[in-house]
Amino acid sequence: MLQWLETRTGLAGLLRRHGREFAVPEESGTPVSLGAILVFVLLLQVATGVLLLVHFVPDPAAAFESVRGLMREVPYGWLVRLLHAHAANWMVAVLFLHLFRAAFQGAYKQPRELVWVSGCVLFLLVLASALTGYILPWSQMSYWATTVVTASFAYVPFVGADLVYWARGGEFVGDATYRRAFAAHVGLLPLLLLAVVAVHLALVRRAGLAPRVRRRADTATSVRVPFYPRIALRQAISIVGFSILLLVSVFFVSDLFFPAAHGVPADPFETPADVKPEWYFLWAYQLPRLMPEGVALLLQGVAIAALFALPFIDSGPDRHPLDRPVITTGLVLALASLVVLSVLGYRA
Amino acid sequence: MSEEDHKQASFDRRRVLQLLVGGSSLAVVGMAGVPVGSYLLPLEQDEGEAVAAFGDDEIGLWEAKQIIVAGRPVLVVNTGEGYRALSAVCTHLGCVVKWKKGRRQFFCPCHGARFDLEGEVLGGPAPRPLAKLEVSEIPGSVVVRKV
Repeated sequence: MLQWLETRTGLAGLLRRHGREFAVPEESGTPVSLGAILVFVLLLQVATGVLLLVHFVPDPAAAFESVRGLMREVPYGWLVRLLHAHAANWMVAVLFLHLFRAAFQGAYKQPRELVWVSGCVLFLLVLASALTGYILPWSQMSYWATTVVTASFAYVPFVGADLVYWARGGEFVGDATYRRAFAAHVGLLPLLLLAVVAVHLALVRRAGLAPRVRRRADTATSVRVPFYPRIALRQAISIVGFSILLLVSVFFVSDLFFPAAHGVPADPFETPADVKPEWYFLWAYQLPRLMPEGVALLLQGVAIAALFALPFIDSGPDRHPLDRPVITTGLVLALASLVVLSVLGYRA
Repeated sequence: MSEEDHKQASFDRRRVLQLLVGGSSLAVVGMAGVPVGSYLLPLEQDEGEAVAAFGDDEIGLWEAKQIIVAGRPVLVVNTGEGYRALSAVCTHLGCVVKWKKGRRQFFCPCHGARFDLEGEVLGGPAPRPLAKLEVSEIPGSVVVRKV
């Protein structure tokens, strides 16, 4: 029977090529495999998202009540919803760590430039998914975060006003905006995410995992071992560790990611006094307080462009942070700015 | 025809076919783009009444009342010498401003923009004054109209 399947699918050969025959640096996945965690969370988001769709009513007039019903009346609805919401937040956090670790370790160096670029695309897609996701419960938080984010498009030169109109589906945030966000969140973005993850992993498979970072003078090379079983086991342990963290946050600090404005239905005529975006957008929320909106938007554009261009700016052979002080200083400053702006945004 | 000529002609035919297939694929994508782009354009929205009225005893001195004109929030302030009606939509990022009676200013809760009674920017990131609306008083009522 297995031979019959193997003849028709070639599955065993496929597993062998990507498992036992895929040689990776011995130290891969230490101390934790962030990439494996991200793939796991993405699949978890798809699964919990599909389950949510069974009871969630995607209509501005009914969405808030349907989320309330899901939390209170549907058996284990609270668990599915909290898993989806908490995992989304943890996904962004792990993605930040994955991105900064790769940047500090110069993992984007030749021949892994496109691995980095596809990772940056994934980063933007995850942020877009998060943004469109928290519109859907149609709470005060949803409404005003959408208003502020879409209004900021107006500062894009030449096409700003048209962009706002198109993103909102009209002059103001309303039903049309909601339907666009829903279509993006459950249709377009998951498809794009899964496709780009496939490209990202294919590129990783082709270029190989980046070996341990060594100083310029250190000429030793990493020992290579088959991906399966040692590295695969390490990844499984990372996923289990992350799952424990996720379950702890869901069960013991369930309102960790829910500010007060999440618990109030959307009111287009009343901006709550304590309106704040999710923690990962606090830095962007704080920037316009410190400088004109146009400059803030330009700065964000430059930062994103620099992120994509990093492998081409820092194209030398050195990977150790101490062997490339300019880039390392830039990364430390970028990270410090993100943290300081986020703290200021939180306390504003 | 020599073998070399035959190869050249075959190459030319292949090139023409490639161009035809590539060009027609691009044309199909372009043609699909028109209906898809049009489909995604926002539809016309009904703004609602461009005029609103309320009783002239509904707002105390230096108090503000929020009303809805053309589907958007408007703040009307009683100055004792008349009424001022201003769009409550902050010109920075669209949050709804609040009236601070003590300071006689409008204040945006999102990024801290401040506006005076005439809607002029006093501070914060707002790029333009608040939009003014036309106010008229008829016995017993205040009427606010979008300009």
